[in-house]
Amino acid sequence: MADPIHQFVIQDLVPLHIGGVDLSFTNSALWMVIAAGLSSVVLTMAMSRASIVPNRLQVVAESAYSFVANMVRDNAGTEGMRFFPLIFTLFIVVLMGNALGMIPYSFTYTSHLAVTGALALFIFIFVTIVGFIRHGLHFLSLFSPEGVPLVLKFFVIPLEIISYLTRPVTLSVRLFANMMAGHLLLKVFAGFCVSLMSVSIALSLLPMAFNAVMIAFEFLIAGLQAYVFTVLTCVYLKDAIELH
Amino acid sequence: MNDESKLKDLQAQIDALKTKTEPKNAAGGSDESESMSVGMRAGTELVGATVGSALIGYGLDSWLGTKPWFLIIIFLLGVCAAFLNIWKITENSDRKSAEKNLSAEQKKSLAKDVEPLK
Repeated sequence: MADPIHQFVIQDLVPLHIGGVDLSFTNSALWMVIAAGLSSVVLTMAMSRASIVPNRLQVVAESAYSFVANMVRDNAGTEGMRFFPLIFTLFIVVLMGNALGMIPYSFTYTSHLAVTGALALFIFIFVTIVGFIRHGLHFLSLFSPEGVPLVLKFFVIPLEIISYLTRPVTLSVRLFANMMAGHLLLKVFAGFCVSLMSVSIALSLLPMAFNAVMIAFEFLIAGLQAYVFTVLTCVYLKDAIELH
Repeated sequence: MNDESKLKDLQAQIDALKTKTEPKNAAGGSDESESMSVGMRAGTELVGATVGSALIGYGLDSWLGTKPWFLIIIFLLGVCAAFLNIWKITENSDRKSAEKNLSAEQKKSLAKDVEPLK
């Protein structure tokens, strides 16, 4: 029977070792290239013959744009619109990773902590740099909320610092755990289906029905996790821009 | 109608359109997906902050050789931080939904009340 973990194994497609560093082109990298290429081609094609009455592809591109634009404006404020290109790219990268993973035999690169962790660390460092550039050392007042008595400050400031430092952990673990758990569950129940086949065909339809529901649910999760990831990036950016 | 009044008219139209498109507080994600995303965040916030703080504490301990003090202190602080984060999330979403429940008419009447004071 198929191993449910097998779908997450990184395989070298083009082995490449430079100076003891493994830079091989893997299946994960392949799907990242597909995601980047597909989104660039679709968005360029959609807007190349833009008209006032949009065609179907143009509607897709424009609604993606206005969806992310509204999200940035609501959560990071009008000032945050300066970072719109970055946030739109992040949204598309995560959404494509999640959505392409729903194709059978594909590879879900967002199901690896290495990928989501790198994205989250990049956001964390970027937001911190933006905060220090905009406010200088005054940015550190983010850790000291207003209206807190001096005695409590000794307790609250370490709490705020820890919750700031654990942001990349929560951000990356949420995305990776959701994607991995969902795909694992699908595979495990598909396995049940196969092993129940030897008992009775009718009984084996039960896990199959469950899987049909799960697949729909996974599509929801794919979109939702991309949304949550980008919303949180906007929220963090707002902290750095406005300080509270 | 002279040119100047035409220009003013146009400016007024532009301003009206701008105020229509700029605030848009209620847009972006339906109610259901928003509450789902809040739920998702609350769950992982609890796990993430505790695990993250334990990792930070363990790292500091093995770096400074002070086992197990940093692990204990930072882990406990991390648990508190996790609950603090959850409290912040729920408070935020409470405020958002309260704003949404305030219907457009109520907002208008509120605006009318404020207007004469100017």
